[in-house]
Amino acid sequence: MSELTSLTTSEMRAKLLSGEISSMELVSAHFDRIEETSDLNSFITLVKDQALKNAESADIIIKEKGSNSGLFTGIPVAIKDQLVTKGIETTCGSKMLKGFIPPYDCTAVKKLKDAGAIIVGKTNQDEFAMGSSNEYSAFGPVKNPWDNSRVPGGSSGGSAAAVASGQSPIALGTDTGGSIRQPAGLCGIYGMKPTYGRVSRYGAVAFASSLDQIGPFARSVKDLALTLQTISGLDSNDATSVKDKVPEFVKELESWESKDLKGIRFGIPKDLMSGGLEDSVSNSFNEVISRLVKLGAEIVEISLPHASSSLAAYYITAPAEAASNLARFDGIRYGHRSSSYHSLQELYEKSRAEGFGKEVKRRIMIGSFVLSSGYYDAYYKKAQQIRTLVINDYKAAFMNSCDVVLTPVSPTVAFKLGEKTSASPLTMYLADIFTVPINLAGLPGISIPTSLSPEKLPIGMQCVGPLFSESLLLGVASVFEREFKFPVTQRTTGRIN
Amino acid sequence: MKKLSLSDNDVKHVAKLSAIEITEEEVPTLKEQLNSILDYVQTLSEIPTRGVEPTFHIHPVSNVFRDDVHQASYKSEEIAKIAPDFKDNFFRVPQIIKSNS
Repeated sequence: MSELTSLTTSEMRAKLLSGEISSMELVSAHFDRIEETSDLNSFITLVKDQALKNAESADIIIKEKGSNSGLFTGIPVAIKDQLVTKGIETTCGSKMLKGFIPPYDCTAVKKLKDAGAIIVGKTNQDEFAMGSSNEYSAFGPVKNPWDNSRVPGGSSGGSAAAVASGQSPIALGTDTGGSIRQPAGLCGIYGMKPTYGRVSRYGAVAFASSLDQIGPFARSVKDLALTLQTISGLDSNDATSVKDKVPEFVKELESWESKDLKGIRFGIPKDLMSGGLEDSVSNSFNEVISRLVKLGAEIVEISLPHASSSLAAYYITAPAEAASNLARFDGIRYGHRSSSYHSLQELYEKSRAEGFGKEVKRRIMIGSFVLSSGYYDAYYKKAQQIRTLVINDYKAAFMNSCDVVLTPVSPTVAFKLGEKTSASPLTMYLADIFTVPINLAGLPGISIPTSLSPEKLPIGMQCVGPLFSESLLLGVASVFEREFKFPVTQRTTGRIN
Repeated sequence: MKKLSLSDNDVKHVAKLSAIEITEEEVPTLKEQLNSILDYVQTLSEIPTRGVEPTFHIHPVSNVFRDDVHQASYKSEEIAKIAPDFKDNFFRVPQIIKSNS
């Protein structure tokens, strides 16, 4: 029955509806897989009893309603621990929130549950989504399913590893500077950061509010589209969610079944890529380009002169917003409270010193500094001006030269555990060079696995489109999926080491 | 912009602003790490931005209103479950105002 962990949700749905399998069997098979591959450390919390109970109810619903049941009825999903889940411990990978059981559901989670999905657990992550390797988790690092000695990427590393290893067919993550796309790329699956505002952020514990966005991980483009369709839309609980009607992503994707890439212009930002790629990534990128040309695509060189400054602007903007957002963790209303204090101030300072990990403290301190009196204009305001320039760069590129901007997801394949944490914090930041500009500009981006490096590690490509162009990105990704045939289920069964 | 580098005292000040207690032993490492990050982000000062409007938010949204209808809030039992110290419907904190007696 282990093949159940290799299926897409659409395949699962067909088998559930035909009665070939029950949700009980499906969910149990996933818990068996989770147990078998527990070395990955991809979950912080598992809710097996609850999930099996929900599977029992799902089987009744499927019998009663058949194809009128919700699209994800009886299908397991994994949720990043950054998203609050009613009644299920939510830690954000931090000691600060150990034992915190939220009284409400994140909107995206609620929408998946309303569609019948069964939560198997909460996935491991870098603390408060700050990191690119999952090593900054208070619950230990996650391992890459393709090579246990390497990182899965971050911050949504647990979600990526869970989907890549067959622990769950889909998962939700959050992406503030690449936290969905980068781990999807390093783990060989699909991941998408939707346009800012496409998915409500209500219930995503805020890291950098002007950059954060929830998005899906999946092993097929169709599953990515199904999940995105389910979680998108206006929400009165998030004033920044957009009113635009959510397109029918799945239906629009079907129109790509008979299409190639004829007439689609892929922009290659040479200035952004001058920083140097690892050989295997560079070779793979060139190979992708020549395949795209064969598929009728047009390749154009574009200029995004400010994109390379995005990283510096990001590492001002994100910490500044984080310093403000994480002020809520004061040891008073929820979360960790120190056991020894004499004054209110001391209660704050000790609770926060004990509750937060090193990287979170560094970012809060950088944020407090750049927002402090006398430095605001030189740092925060400057970074927001750079943001305008980055936005204009992309606007000009999309208006004049290309439909999609193509880069690798990351400059390297998955790196070794400990390789970047032992160096300066900056070394880790540089892993985000291709993903960060998209968050500053609010654009949608998709991570598509295309090939394996000589050492059998996944390499992914990132496609970025104009605001609200998710359908185009999904369509393009489906052509890549068909053409490159990346072995996305290779790690979903059997031993992982 | 002239290059800026944090001193030991600056690091302590920033920790205070952040309401995070740090020890003397942590100061040198923090100073080095924070300065390396600041060095990097200061490269932005070389990019001309005179007259460029800052973008604080991607979509031009402001004043999003909803109907003024009351909604149920959380029950205090639920809040009590997640609060570190909660009694008689209040969050308990150390005494803030000293009594004169």
